[in-house]
Amino acid sequence: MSVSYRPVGWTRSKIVYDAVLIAGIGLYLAAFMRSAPRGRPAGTLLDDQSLAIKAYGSCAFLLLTLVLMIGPLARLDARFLPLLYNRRHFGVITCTVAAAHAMAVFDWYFAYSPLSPWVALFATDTTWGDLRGFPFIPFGLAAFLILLVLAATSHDFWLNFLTPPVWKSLHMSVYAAYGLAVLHVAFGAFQDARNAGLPVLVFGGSTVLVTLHLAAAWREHRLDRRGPVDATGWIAAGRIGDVPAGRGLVVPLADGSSVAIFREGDALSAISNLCAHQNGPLGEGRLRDGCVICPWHGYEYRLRDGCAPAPFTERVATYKLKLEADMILLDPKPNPLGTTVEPIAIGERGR
Amino acid sequence: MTQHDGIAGPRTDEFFIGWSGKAGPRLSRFLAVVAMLCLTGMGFIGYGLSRHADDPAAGLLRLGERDGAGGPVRPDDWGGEEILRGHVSRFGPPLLHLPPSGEFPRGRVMLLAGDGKKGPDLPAGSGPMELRGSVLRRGAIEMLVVEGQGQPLDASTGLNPAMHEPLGRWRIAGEICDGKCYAGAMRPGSGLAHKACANLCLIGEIPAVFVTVDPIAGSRFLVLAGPDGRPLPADVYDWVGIPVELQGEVERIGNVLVLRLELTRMRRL
Repeated sequence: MSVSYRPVGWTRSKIVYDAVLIAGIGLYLAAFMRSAPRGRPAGTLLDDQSLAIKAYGSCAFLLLTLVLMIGPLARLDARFLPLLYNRRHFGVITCTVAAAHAMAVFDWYFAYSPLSPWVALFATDTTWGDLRGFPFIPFGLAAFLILLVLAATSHDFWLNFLTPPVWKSLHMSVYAAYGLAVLHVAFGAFQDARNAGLPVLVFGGSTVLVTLHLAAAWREHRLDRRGPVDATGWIAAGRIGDVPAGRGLVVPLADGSSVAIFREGDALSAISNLCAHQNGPLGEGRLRDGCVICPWHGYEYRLRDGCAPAPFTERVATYKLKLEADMILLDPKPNPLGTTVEPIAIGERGR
Repeated sequence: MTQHDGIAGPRTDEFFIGWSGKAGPRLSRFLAVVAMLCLTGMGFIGYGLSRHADDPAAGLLRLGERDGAGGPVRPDDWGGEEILRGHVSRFGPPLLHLPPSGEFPRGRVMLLAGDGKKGPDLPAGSGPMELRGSVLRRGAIEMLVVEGQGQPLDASTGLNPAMHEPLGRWRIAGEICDGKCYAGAMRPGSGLAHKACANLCLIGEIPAVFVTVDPIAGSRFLVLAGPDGRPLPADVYDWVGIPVELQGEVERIGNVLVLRLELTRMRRL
């Protein structure tokens, strides 16, 4: 959390995270460009530039696959949540490696010619009518441009400037970039591949990715059970005992949003389940000093009024609750932002 | 209910707050294992992909050329600068015809290219010339990368074109490549991934070669020329870097074959 914009709000977690990430990339590139060629028979080596093109390209694809796995992994197992905390750095580094691939191609395949490299880029492969020789470079270029836009808008300044819903929608285009990257490889390197390495990486990686997303979606679907609504519009959210210790009870609403009900001591409160920062699931957060902490980036909101403690200014909606015996009833209409709602006492019913 | 670091919930429930810089011991151990797995995996994947990457010299339609020891033929070293005197012809791309020798009784013919992705800087027309440059070799292909401008020589030098021998009309399967990258300027110098680069070479007037699936009259490559013996038209660019079947008249000129391509009879394989 930060009240002012800084290029990077470094924390120990981010330093360790980035160090591991950069070490992984270093290991990959060193193994690809230095160690492995020593083990190949003389006469079977790629030229250094082609080796670099393949190393950067495959590394970028692998990183893109891994960064997209973090979301569903964190949904399926909360221990992966720390990987999500610094995911934007992961994305920017992935874009940097993809840029290295693009520049290596540009400076090798499209250089040393009387024709401008920019003209050559668009004019030297235009076989649009043949699927088996379909130009593959535009797919890679489009994927890279998307990654570039996402990296350029990854800072919190853009998140606030564009508003979280717009920013989130924009950054969902990373999936389009992944699809384009798959097409780039499928119509390019696959066409000449004579060993299974690259196909295994691409198809294996994308299959694992799709499977993880389906598993996470299935988990969400199972949890997404709405309670009955009474004549006055109040929803039966669950029983007092359903509110887990220290966590929130998530109640899905008909409009697709959801509410998180927390128990603090002997009282219950309800706030929006969506963090104002990046729509993180507040219901999976924890309580500290009367505030809910978002599990994604640690943003905090007071249970009573949904406001972040000063000097922060983020706010989420509060909701009204009432009890009938040990049944919690929720008014699905959100209160205006900043509205204080007194917690409802459980009394003897929660003991 | 217990409290740890002020967070409500069971002590075993370790909750990570990124900006706090703290993670519980069990979560830290888990993350350390994940980090080690990622680091090891990245190293192994990088090594495996590169170690088993396709052999670039084997590059053409899975056949490739092999040397005497069964290994892929490797382009010779550049070998330094050479000064060669011969007859430059304009049958298709410019070719340098060197006089017959014991090794090349029909005459030795070299493809010609300039520096980078452009053709050689030669005086207009054909005839005896002195050219300076480096020779690229891959298998039977030889290409002189001409440095500077070729110098015309007097017709009395006795440098004549190599013998032409018509071999009839052929239908041949293979892949169109640019002669320079295929001759070893790039590794690999073939395949779809190299198509844009190959087209850039052809646009720059580097000679096109047709690398065949099966040997034709003892050769695995043919120099490509237009139907009237002129350089190839731009229509060919769409057919580069992919398996194709070509038809046309084949001529042996010295130690190389030239295919006079019939543009209307090209077929995608």
